[in-house]
Amino acid sequence: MTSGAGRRASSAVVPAAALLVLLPVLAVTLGVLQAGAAPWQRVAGSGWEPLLGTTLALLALVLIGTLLLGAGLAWLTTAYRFPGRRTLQWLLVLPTAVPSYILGLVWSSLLAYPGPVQTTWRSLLGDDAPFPPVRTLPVAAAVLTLTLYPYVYLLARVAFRDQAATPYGAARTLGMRPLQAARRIVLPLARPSLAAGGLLVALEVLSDFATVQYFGVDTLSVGIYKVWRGQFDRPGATVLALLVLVLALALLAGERLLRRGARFSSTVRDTTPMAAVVLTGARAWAATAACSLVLLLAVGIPVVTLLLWSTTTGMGDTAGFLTATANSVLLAAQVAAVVVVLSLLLVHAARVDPRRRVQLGVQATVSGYAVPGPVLAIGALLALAGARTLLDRLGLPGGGGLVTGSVLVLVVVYTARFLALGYTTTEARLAGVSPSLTAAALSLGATPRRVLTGVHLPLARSGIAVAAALVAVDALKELPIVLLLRPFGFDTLSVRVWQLAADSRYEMAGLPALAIVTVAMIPVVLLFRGDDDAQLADDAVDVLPAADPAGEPELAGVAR
Amino acid sequence: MSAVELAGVTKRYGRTTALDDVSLSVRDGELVALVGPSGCGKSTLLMLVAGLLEPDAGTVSVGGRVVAGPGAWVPPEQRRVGVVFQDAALFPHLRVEDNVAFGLPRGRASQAARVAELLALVDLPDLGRRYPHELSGGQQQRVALARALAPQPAVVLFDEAFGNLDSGLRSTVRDATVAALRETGAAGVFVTHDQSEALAVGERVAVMRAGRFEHVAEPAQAFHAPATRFSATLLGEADFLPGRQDGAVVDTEVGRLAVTPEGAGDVEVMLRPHEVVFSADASGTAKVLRREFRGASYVYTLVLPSGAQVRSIQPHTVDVAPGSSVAVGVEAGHPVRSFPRGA
Repeated sequence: MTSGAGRRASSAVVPAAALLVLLPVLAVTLGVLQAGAAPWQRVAGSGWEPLLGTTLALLALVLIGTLLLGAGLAWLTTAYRFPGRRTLQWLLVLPTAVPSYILGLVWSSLLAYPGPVQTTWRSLLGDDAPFPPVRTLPVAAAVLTLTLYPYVYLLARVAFRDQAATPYGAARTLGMRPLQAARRIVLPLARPSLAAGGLLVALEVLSDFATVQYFGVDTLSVGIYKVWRGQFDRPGATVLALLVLVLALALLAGERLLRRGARFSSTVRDTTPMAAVVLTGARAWAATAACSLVLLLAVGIPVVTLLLWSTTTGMGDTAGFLTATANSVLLAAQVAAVVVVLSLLLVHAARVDPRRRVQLGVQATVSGYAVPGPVLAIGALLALAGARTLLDRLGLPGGGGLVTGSVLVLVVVYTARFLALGYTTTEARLAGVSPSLTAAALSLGATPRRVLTGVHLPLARSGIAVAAALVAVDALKELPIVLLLRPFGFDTLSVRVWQLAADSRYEMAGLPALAIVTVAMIPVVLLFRGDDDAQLADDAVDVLPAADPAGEPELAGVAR
Repeated sequence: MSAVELAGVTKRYGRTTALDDVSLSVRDGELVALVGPSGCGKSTLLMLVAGLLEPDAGTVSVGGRVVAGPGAWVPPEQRRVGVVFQDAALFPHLRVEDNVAFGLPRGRASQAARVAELLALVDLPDLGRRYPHELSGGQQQRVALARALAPQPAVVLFDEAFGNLDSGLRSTVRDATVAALRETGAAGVFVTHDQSEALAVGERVAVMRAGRFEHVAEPAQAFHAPATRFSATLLGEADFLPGRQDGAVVDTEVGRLAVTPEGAGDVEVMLRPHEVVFSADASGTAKVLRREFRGASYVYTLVLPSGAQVRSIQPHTVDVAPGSSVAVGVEAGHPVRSFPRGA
């Protein structure tokens, strides 16, 4: 049985991509089995239990925070009408462009003893006025919440709009007040989406070890970093990495559990707009103020602060800044290119080849988003060490270079990290292309390669560009992996921000941080500014202006 | 030789079994209609033949070659199976002529002539330069057919191919499709949930339910002597009357009728509304319960003394008011079908 060249290529790509993601996981697991009991005792001096406790507490706080803030803002901006809502509803996605290690840096500096907040506090209340401690877990959780809530916000909005609009309208006509209907109808319907958003948030929290260190919070991932970079204790770091991995898998299982029984998610997209309540008077301005406050804390104040720092210090070490910028750009570009090509081949393979091993391979690759960055990094290092041993044993040269780290290793691990993002973005864009198109092309005798070049590529071009932009920006922002794996002396913008912050040279960090935030904002603005699906609801409101003298909420645009 | 042969094919999605040990043979040039309620597995069957799904068990052959089975797998593009989809699935970025030419060997001088020939076959000779979005739904379906026929497949599969067309257009496009298929000699498998379409198109009709075939037969036989009560009601309106069978006759409330298959004992016989006749008769034991206007005809619902109901289709000229007493008879023109009672 002969196979087309394209199919051979895709049959090679799928297992290779799956291996890329699964090998680090396997390496960590095997590494722990090899290490025995000793590392468990000596990790971070006092064992791993306190780290686990802190991690769980942080996870709980950030999850509660992001779910409340994300779902609350999503509800406010879909079910109510208030001044500035149309602009605010997409601006509220913007905090995702400010990485947590930058937001944390800004706020830990602003809130520090010599910072402007405490200085003002003392000048108002006297030198001895007590100020709540800043370097604490709740403050770290607040910072993480402010940068991570957009995950929940976006998914909740889609759920509210696409699934809950009609049932909500029905509930209102059956006599329920808005909040009552929200609690009894909308919230249960949105549960799977909220769970999915929560999972993304939790995985980000698990990966982070930079932000929390500003606040003196020692999580498992902080442990990995300290044990690996500080004590060069490989088995110790591996044990901690396994704990993080187990936590991630538990979260994944939890999300699946919350999604089970969610058979009410309809396959037909409902385009009926949400019946919106027009807020008037003080309530309306309170809603506007609430959204603005979040934006101010998460984006406005940080960006202004970074601008001030950049203008007072300038570039400082110009050569260092330029080198870091060049490194960041090159790394991001390479990763984006590799990820996009791989993603397209994977999406394509999943489309043209229905065999189980191909489908499972693609699923395994996509599940890579659940492997936290530090675990990937440690796993990759262990795998490389294994490869070195193998090469040495075979008497082949070149093994040493594998372990000391190289930019190539960074590109590979970044690829494993961002493949899921690239895949889902490309696939989402191709989802508009009916599967029957692919099927028609194949049944007409087109080889998979021809389907790729003649049908999938021309129709998915915009998706590929979006995927490339998103991956490049995420690669630019990425910190944990590059901190763990970078070759000696290799600086990126994110590494520079982190190091300057660690040395408390906050102002010097202004320019590289500002560069990251500015670039990260571009795709967010381009993608979401046109987010106008609520147009219909708005139009209905314009047609039926609800002038209610009592200032009571009024049902304006009633869904059919 | 068979154009398509399925032997013991099973396909599961997780815990649901979409196809359960199904076998079917489609002869060269034969037109077979697969009919069944949604979710019965009929579309799954098509996708398995086309190579867009992989069976869990059993073998699939096309044109005498095993294309899926233990240790065998022929990718879809090498199967010589044409597919026409419900949404036509024309490539939106290609002109009509390029869509039709997609499955032809590229760069041959004969290609343009072949495209013109195919567009003439589906009666769209002048639309080659258009883009798909500039065509009506019916035109798109005919282009899809021309495109599927271009590589001279052994069989063309139609997945609810006329389902998106409005009812007037549907039969026109369907007839044109059948004519074109006959001209090329390709076999055809039509998946549909519309019983009248299945009866009109198929040389054989296969009734599917929950992943299995209930009955595979010629349309007239499937309609008049269905294998199961499920097939009976799926292929057309049917009422069931209790009776007592003795050999080839059965005694019912509406008289003694010829019956098939032979047997004895308590049975139920199937009566289709066009087989039931009645006349206004003041001494008749049945009554008209209600009537439904269908334009050219009335459907009368009659209550028999036992309380059982049967329907009767009559031309609009037969005008009997509800409540009237009537005498009921059966004019089937063939033995009626009996089923074991309660089955």
